[in-house]
Amino acid sequence: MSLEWYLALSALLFTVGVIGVLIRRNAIIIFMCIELMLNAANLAFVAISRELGDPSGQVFVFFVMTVAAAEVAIGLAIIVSVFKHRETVNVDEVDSLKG
Amino acid sequence: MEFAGIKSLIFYAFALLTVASAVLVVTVRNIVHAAFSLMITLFGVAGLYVFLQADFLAATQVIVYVGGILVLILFGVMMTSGRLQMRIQIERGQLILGGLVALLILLLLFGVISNTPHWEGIKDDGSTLEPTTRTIGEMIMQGEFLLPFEVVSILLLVALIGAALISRKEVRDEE
Amino acid sequence: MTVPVINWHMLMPELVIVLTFVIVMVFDLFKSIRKSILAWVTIIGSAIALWASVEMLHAGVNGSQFNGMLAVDRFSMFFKIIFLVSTILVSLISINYLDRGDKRQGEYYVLILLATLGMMLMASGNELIVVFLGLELMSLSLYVLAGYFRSVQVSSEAGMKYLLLGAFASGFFLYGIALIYGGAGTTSIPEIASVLEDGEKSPLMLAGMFLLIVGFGFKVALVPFHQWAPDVYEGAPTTIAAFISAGPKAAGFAAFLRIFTSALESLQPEWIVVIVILAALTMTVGNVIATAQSNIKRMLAYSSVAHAGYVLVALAAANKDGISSAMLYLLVYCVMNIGAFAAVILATTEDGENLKISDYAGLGFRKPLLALFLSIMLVSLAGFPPTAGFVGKFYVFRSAVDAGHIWLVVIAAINTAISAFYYLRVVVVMYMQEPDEELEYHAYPGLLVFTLLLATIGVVLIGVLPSYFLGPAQISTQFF
Repeated sequence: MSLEWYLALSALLFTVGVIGVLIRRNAIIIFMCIELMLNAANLAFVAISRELGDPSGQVFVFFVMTVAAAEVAIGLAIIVSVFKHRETVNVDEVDSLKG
Repeated sequence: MEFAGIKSLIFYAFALLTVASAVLVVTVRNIVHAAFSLMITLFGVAGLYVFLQADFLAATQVIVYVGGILVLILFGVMMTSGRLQMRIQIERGQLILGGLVALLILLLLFGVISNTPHWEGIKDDGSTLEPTTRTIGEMIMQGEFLLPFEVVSILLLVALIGAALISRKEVRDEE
Repeated sequence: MTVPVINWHMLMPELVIVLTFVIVMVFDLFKSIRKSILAWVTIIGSAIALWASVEMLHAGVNGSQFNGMLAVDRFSMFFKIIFLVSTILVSLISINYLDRGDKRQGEYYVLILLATLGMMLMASGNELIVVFLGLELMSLSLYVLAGYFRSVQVSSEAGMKYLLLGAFASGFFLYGIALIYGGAGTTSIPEIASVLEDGEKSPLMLAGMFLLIVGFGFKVALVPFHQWAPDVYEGAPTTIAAFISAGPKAAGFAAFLRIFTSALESLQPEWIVVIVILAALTMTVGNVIATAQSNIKRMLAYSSVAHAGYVLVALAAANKDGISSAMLYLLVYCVMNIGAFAAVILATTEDGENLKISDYAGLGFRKPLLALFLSIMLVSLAGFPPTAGFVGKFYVFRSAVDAGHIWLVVIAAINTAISAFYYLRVVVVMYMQEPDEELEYHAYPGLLVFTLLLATIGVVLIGVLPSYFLGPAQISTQFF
């Protein structure tokens, strides 16, 4: 498989992630779509690193994974705290988070 | 030749699996189904890393993404819905706008990728590279990537402090 | 591949900030220590780092650390001065603001310091991955700070909105880096520049460049990527809104300037077009929508969007004058914008914050000192002489005219006129209108007045003696 295939695949994955962020309303699903985007970038990094024979691309991916983990930890804490408000302040509002 | 054929077949299968499940993440209505589709995508990407002979990253992908991030997301789903189901509808206007923007990006990326010269292609001659774990470890711990490593450790500290801060009750009400 | 030799002297500002946040964390453990001590530790630590940065700027440092990953040059020092000034001012206004009830404040200052560290890495990062990590360090701290008032719903929601759009922007930024890595085969900024100079303009580089612009556009709130800004500024604690509008914006531009005028210098014909369009859009949309706002925090949010547009005008000049005028403008902008937010905090009544512009009626007579401070900040934001705002705009416009962007400067001038309308409207309301009801104002907290005094001195000083500040900016345009 040549590099083009991997890059095309990663471009496709990235685009799917972007579509998801733009069309979905649920905060957690938007988060999953952002993970798709990051994974697409990681795939591109690894493929290019293999093509160039330069391991530093793989080191970047290692760092990006750490960043993604940190982002998810903070993100979910914030999302859950918003949800707690909606639930306690106004039960009807919970629907707006789903919709 | 037979070996290369089977190999490319497996590659296509992984590629299809990855993209199809990614599309499911975006389109499926049930949020738990979306999370499970994301798991398949993440496994698919791990498989592609194996193809690219990035053994360390393939393992890390499974451990960190599937074992950590995805489980965290599922916890988030649990804590925000109580019951594990949330029905989600998509507005039409948003669908069209999002689709248009995304199509533009896709065309740009595909155009760019197909126009890039001088790629010999990754050699698929069955040869194997050395395991990458040692190289990566050396680059991080004693080589050029010492600074990013330190920064990432501080970043994790921020995640720790931030998540603890947000989940803790605010003390202001008790006076 | 050997262990890099580290010259600790060159990392002074960063090390001081790291040490300060460790001290704040340890102090926070002791219940007996008054919470304002934490703020003072933060301020003193930042002041020491500021002093170190000024000294290093004077000494003319020019080197790099960690195998060329971190550029320690005058450019980064100038920006570190901007960030640290912002951090000090924001910590000063936070003391009274937080004391109204919050009992645990350690994390607040720790996160402010860590965000500052992230900004410093963005300004110094000579490797795209370091810039990315600095950006993430800054952003993650800011997401938490925006949602700091957990018991207030709008604050949590501001945090969530900021987080989702910020993470989305990071995705674009990262993919842009990946494509540039593919096109150039490296992510080191000087190496990318030399690859491009050799005449290799891979289409991948161009696509990567566009994605980087999108990512930066979200982070510094350029139109059409600005929608998050007003909501986040309105919902976040006012001190944090001031912080987000100042330091992080300057940090975004620092990385923007370094990447685009150093690494991607050879792609100038391509990116200048985009920057010019974005500049015109950002100024116009920001200012026009700001005129329609009745909430002062939202007005300041749109005004800060517009100010990012003025910085882009300087960036469009894309020469040494452009870079130095952008740097001066960012310094001026940070001081006057934090000053304006500080005045908003000062105008607090017994019922809480007072954010409607109509509530400011009659303030000129009942709170003359506050009205005077706010007026000076607004006049400076509008860009009238003899304030710093005028000086900043003057150099920006001049550099753009010299570079031949006449019509862009015409648009910018028209925008300045529009912005004068809504800034001066607040002044008019304060001095010319009678209040509908008598509002109970808090007594002046001494520290807020002191901060406003500092900001006012800064604004006037830069306005009267611009050469003292432009000079350092002009010698700081050389990247390592």
